[in-house]
Amino acid sequence: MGVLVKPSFTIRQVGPLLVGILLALNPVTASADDLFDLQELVDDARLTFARFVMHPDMTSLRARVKEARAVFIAPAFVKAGYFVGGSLGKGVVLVRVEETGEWSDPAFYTITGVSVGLQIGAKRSEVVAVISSKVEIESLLSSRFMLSATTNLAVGPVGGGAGGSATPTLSADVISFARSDGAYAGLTLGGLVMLPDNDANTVYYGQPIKSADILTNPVGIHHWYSARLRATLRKVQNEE
Amino acid sequence: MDIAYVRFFIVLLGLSVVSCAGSSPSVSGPDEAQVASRSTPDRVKFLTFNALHGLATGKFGVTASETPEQNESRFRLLIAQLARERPDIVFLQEVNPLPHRAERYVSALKALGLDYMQVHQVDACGMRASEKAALFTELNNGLAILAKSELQLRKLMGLKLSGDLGKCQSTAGFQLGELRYALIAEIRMPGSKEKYLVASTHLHSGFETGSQFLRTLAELHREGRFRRYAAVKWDVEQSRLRRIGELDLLIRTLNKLNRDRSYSGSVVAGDLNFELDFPEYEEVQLLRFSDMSAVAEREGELYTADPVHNGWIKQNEAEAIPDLLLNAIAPEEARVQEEITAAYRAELQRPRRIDYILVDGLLPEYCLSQALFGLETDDQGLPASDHYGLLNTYLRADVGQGCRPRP
Repeated sequence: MGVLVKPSFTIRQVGPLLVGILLALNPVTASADDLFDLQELVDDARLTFARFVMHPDMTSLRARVKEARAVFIAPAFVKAGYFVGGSLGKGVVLVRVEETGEWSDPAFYTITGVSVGLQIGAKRSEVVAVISSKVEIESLLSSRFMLSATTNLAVGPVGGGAGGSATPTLSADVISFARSDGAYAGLTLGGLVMLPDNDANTVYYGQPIKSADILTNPVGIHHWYSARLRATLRKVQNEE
Repeated sequence: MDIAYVRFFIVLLGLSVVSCAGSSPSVSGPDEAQVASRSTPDRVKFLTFNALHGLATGKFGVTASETPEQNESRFRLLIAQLARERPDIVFLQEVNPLPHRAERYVSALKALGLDYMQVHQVDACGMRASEKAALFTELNNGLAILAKSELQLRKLMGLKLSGDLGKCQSTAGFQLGELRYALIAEIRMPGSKEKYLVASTHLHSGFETGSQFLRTLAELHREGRFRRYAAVKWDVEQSRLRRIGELDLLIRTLNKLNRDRSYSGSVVAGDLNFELDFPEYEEVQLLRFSDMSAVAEREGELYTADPVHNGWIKQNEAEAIPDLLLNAIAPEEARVQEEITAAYRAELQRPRRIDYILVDGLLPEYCLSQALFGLETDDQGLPASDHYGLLNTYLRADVGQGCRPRP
């Protein structure tokens, strides 16, 4: 990816193919509004996060989570392309409530993007992004959060030591970590858009509710099913 | 008869019919409930038992780890104990081979006058095209549920819980690695309209170790004497996360099957390969299932994997140290290697409870006691399996003298 060529296909020609590939590779598809699919997404997010933070090479991620204001976890993020590329993922965002230090319940988000360039094939990844800036949290609470050139983005360093501590990476507002084909590596989220999935929020919580309400309510909107995900985050934060 | 008397009787009959019809909601309701209550069983017994497949996995295949005579002896010992206890439902793991062994349980019990039904799900099949055409002919074993016929046992699904590639069916399938399944069925409680979901499962087994051994390794790591601690811990945690994922999927599926509340409760029983202080146990509670050992009357801790008393585990004492641990300690000095090896061998000798009966909403009005099953031994001093079973006995509170129903 990344080498720009003049595509000989139109978006109209490759669009349906791309959508098909993305949907085929994405586990949460048309029935995403089913409560049990959303519970599965919460379970998968929790396992993805646990696997990431427990890995011996994820020293940097563990350190970042302790300082984080929010995390985004996408257990299945797909990038696919045939000259025109697309990205699609579904995930959850949790915010650390400033007043209590506790993690909020998850709010559901989709993350999408389109790119043009020499890109053939598809890749499925798990993604964890740590957000440490108040400004970015406010963007996240709006109706769409553009991870654009103005966002201070970085790819998280992977390694056992504190090797990355002096790099500019650790001062970024949004740092992303990814795992693909069993290997942990960086994956940039630049150019993508995060959209709150309020339909999913409504199904999961059993009442009409917006992502912003879930993430900013200091008293907390808590669903029993999210307890294990929140406990996993809390455990990492409190670890010595 | 005088016509006046006839009219009187007709009016009386009419009044009584109207009276009965009018009062039926208030009178017949409790009556029906009482009838239902009286007709529900006084005693219900649930048993989970890992029956020991009797196979050894080598580098080039799978072979029997016991003689046919030993296998037959274990089978007869198990049947004799089942016939004495007469559990209403039996959750079995490592039933080998399937489907024959599950059918043989039924016929052997039938010969003793006990009428059972069986359902099964293979979870280890190797490469098998048909009953007779297989790469590893010995390999086709897994899960089974036996239930007394009146419980109307019916298989709902074999749910693959983990394992990337592969699928096992009764007499065909393929697997490229370890597969884990749950066998999900439904039963009807005799004398009532209540249906229950029941699942037998055998969760992932990896590099298993308890907290004490991990603490020993962590201490050596802190002292700078064991450098590869992180790699060992990672492997242990991978195993635990895999089981957590299996539990999540199983319980989510049971909840989904019961989304319209047509079942009165769910039971998950089997060899779950974790202990009370493992994160998997907390997971079960957060998923709102209860470990029946925590609420049952029982005599002390019930260790289902007990190397102190179970001759089958004693026989395997000389089990090799796993490669993972050997590789991790290889760079360390000889004294540290010996210390870790000794600690690991001590770990292997520790009695553990790794079999469970987990319940969501089962028979709350009954008293519950729990005991080990399968303690009897043959003339060689060996029990029917390397696991003891867990037997839950539910006794209706109005029948059991001095027993108190569970909170």
